[in-house]
Amino acid sequence: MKYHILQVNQYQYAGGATESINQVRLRPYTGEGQACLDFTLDLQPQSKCAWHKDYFGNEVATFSIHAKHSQLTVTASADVDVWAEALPTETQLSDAMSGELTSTEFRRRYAEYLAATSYTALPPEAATAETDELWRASRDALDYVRRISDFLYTEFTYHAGVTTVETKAEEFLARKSGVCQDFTHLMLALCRVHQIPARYVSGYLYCGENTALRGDAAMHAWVEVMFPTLGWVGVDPTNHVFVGSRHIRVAVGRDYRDIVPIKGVYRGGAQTLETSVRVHALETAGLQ
Amino acid sequence: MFENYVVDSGYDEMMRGADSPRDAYVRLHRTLADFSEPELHTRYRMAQSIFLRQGITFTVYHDERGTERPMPFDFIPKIIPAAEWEHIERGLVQRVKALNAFLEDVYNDQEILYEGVVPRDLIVTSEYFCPQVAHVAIPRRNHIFMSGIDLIRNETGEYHVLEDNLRNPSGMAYVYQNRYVMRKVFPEFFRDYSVRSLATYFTDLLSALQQLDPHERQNPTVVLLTPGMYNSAYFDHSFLAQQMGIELVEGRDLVVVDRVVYMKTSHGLQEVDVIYRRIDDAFLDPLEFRSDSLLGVPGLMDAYRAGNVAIANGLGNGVADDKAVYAYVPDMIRYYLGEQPILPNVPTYHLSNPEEREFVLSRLPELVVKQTDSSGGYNMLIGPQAQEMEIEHFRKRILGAPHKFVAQPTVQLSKVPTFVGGGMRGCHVDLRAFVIQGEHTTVFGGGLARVAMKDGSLIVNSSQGGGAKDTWVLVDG
Repeated sequence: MKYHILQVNQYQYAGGATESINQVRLRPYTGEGQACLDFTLDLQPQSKCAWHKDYFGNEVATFSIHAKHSQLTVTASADVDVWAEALPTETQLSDAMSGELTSTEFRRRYAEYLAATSYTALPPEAATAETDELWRASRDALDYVRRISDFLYTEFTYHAGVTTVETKAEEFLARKSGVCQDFTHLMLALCRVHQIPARYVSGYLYCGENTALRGDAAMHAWVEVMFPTLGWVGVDPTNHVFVGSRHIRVAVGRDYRDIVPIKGVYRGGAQTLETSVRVHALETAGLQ
Repeated sequence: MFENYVVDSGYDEMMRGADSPRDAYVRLHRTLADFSEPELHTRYRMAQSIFLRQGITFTVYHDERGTERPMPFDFIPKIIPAAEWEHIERGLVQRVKALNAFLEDVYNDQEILYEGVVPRDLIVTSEYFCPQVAHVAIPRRNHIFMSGIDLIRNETGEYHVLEDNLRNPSGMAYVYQNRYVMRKVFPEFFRDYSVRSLATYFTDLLSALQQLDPHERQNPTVVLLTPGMYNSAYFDHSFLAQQMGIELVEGRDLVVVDRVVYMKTSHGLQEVDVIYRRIDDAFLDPLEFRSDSLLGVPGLMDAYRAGNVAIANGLGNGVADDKAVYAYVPDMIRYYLGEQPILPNVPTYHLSNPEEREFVLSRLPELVVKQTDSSGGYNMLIGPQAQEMEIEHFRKRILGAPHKFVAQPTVQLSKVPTFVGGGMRGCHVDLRAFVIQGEHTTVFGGGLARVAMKDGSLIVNSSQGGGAKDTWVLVDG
């Protein structure tokens, strides 16, 4: 599947901004199952970007604007080819895979993705109360992941505007409504509690004509869990699906903090932001 | 002065017995005999007033009477004979080289972690782990410009490393000040000794910093970045900057333009090559670390990444001086240098290990338990001196989060006679030695001997009321 993505972010500064410096993680990933064929980042006012690859493998652009400006527009435009296939729902872990999953060596290798972060930390009682039953009923750790995704999808409401980018998993657990970022953080927490390495993925979801899917008006977020032999497996708890070629990966990390699509520091008054995201399919054959 | 002096348990660095000083101290002992008690009192008060006048104070946390007070001082120096110092020096250089190699590895290929020599989870989940510096080609691969390594001597006088401080070790200024005051107030003490001079102390420090300049300029611009005057170590900062002749700056005095750091001066922007920073990692750059930090410089991390500025000490060093990681330093020395450690560690038990935990829990009244992410002598249990209740309280804390604690046997720290309550009493000491890495790795010929002035106390940290002694490294003998 080939896509064209256009994301426009427009910042307005009351009274203007100076000494603004920003970091952008918007370049889609190139690697297993996906390639970014073309990418441009357009900045108004114009500015030079310095690129680097971060610890998690994400491409990061840093730019600054020193002169006074009243608005900033960051336009990312990308052509991406995605050929990743969703994991068949009936997939099971072999005993050897389950054994390796719980080995010290495996846990050390993926230690970053097993530790709670400020976004994913839950009181131990809360975490076990929510998951004990599901864990016991699960055939294996992969089955547990599927059940957790189902649990989030059915028991929690997708509702924009009730949470913010600062909302922690614990708060979402109590409130039971929020957006993809909240679903993702809570899912990370519930996987990590049971020692399944899990990471945050930011990206785009192509919904097309499928109106049941949630998440194409803005950037999307989902989870990847790591299993021996299978590698990173994408799971989208907001839509309760294994991730296939409708999901376009941009960045990965331990939680939202590591993948913030655009962040910046400037001198000046309050800012407002308007974002628009459009994902266009350049071909539709073979879409699952 | 020594008529009533008691040499009891532990190693006394000065006195072999009630009236027989060790070789290095014989001359000082003789000089002291010429002093009357009132004369010593007078001199002591003189020394204290110099400290006060110069504003050498230290913040004592949990002190309701006020936060600042003069650094307690004692005039009996800790004397280190040349041969003993040579051994310490070799051990420290070896240790810091291995720690530097470890940091370089952790922020690049993580070989030591993937090979399982040091548990990978311990490092990458540490709150001090700093993914922002991964793969940054830092100037001279130098992560540890200045370290403060704390040494203790056990019952037999053998030196052990107690702790590595690789972030922002403070105390350099006190070392210099102690010597200054000693020379001024107790000149007679130095009469019969040839003590390693501190005269080139600051020029050495400055040239080590200059050697970090990524542009290798003739005369690089070096600045000291401080959080400001409300920081407890501000005295250290302003004193060091002044003595080295470099600018003392705060975050708002610097600006990053096109990945280059500049200092705002009255005649425009001046490029900065080396930043000796005394601000913690989390506050250095609000763009990549804590966004609420007003102390840092937006874009500093990116300028560093671009190779346009050196930052000393490096970022993310906290993963190597944690109390749990400490236990692995001898392994790092073997792994990176292929050598046996010259200075041993104090044996350390990891409470995350079930067997070691069980052993420790059954022996709490004998052991010292430390929280791995605490420093300054806080959050520790000293078994032999603790009340039953305190021990039980700690037992609960350990069981709640065992991976956050390590335990060590109680080491009977060595003692040096100290003038307290009008007489001499043996007080426990340790030694913070400073290791400087520029082009080469060197140890400052001296250090901060910290003394626990409370009767019987084993805590020497100045933040908890410990005092300081001058440290003499002898040129000969």
